[in-house]
Amino acid sequence: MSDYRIDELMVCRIASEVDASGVTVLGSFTPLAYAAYMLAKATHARDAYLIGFNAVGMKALQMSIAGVEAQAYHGAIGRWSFIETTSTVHLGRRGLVECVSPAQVDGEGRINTSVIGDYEHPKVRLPGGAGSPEVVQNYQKLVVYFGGHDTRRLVERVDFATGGRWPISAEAREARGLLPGPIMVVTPLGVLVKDHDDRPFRVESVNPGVDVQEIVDNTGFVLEVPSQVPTTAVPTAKQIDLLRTEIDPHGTSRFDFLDTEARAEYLRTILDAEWRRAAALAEEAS
Amino acid sequence: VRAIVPDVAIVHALRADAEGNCQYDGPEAIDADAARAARRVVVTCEEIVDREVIEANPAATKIPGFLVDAVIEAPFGAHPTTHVPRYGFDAWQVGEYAAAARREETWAPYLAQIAAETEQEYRERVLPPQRRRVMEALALGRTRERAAA
Repeated sequence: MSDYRIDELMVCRIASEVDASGVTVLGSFTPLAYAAYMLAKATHARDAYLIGFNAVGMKALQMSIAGVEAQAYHGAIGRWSFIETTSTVHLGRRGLVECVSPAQVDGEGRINTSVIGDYEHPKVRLPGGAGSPEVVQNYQKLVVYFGGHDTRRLVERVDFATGGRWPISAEAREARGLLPGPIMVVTPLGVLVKDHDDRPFRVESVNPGVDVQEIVDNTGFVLEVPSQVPTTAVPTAKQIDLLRTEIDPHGTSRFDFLDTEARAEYLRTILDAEWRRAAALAEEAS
Repeated sequence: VRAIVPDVAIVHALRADAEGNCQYDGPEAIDADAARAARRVVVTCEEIVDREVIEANPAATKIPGFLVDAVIEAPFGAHPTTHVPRYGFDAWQVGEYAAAARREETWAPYLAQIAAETEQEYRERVLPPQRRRVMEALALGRTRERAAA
């Protein structure tokens, strides 16, 4: 399959982490991660439990802005409050895959969604942590993804540690009652993995056409580079077809790759389409 | 960590009776927990119903009336955010709010207008019938684009 966008490759790579062994909860609206969960649910992970909003066991929804909550609501098998979900999944050792898209990640796996610069006098004030400190630590697998791969995002040390994962080694995590699992960093250049406290992130795979040196040069922390680095699996024709016709026809997984202005313009395009669809439904109903 | 005891919780339910027995069908988020924790509880709801309506479906009752101090009927009370299954997310209105909030000279009049009007005046201004129907259609869960032929 050669006709794919890089965000679609990342969606498919993240989707491959989702299976029916645990529960995945949809957090703050991060389109690329949502698309990955939905793709998994619609393909290899049909038995996986997803919880979105308060809809437990929701079906694969179609990515949109205004209508996703109602899609999650219709066709789920149960309703849980926020506290029920948090205590049962996040703190109850049932969380499978957690995706975050922070401003920075560092070589120790800390993430920053709080501030760039000094905390008291920030250069940029970011949205903040929300539930991320809890989920970053407690979920079995942590996926950090970015729409770009450079030394501003992949830094030696984050400006502010909104959340972190400690310990990282499987035995040490299990000894503390935490689910064992790695931290993965998924970017347009490739995939990095850290699964041991005393070893740096290693390059797990390079995306097609990317040289491993490009990854090393654009990463602000030390990497372990194996002698043979495989290429990230490319999407199948079936995955691309599902994404473009069923799961994400508006291409919301592109959001992370757009600058602020392009993003606002793109958002308007998606909302216009949603309005037309809802208005047609309203017309049918009246 | 000490428990938070809010002075007041203001929650929005799908329906409630005059005693404040509150029912939800869609997301209740932290409403019931907030109501249990707070010293005083104010409920707004899409509609106030007779107690018999509550009794007909007791499993949907998330906040019992003994926790509640006041009940206010406020249709579209969660707008421009959602109250599934009644209405979806008015992302367009939230966009206007976000645009207004960028600068003090646009934010002040935006806020002054909302502060000066009643709930009913707000609904009449922001939610004319056609827009109201679109918001309701967004809650149907059927706003998917159909697969390309």
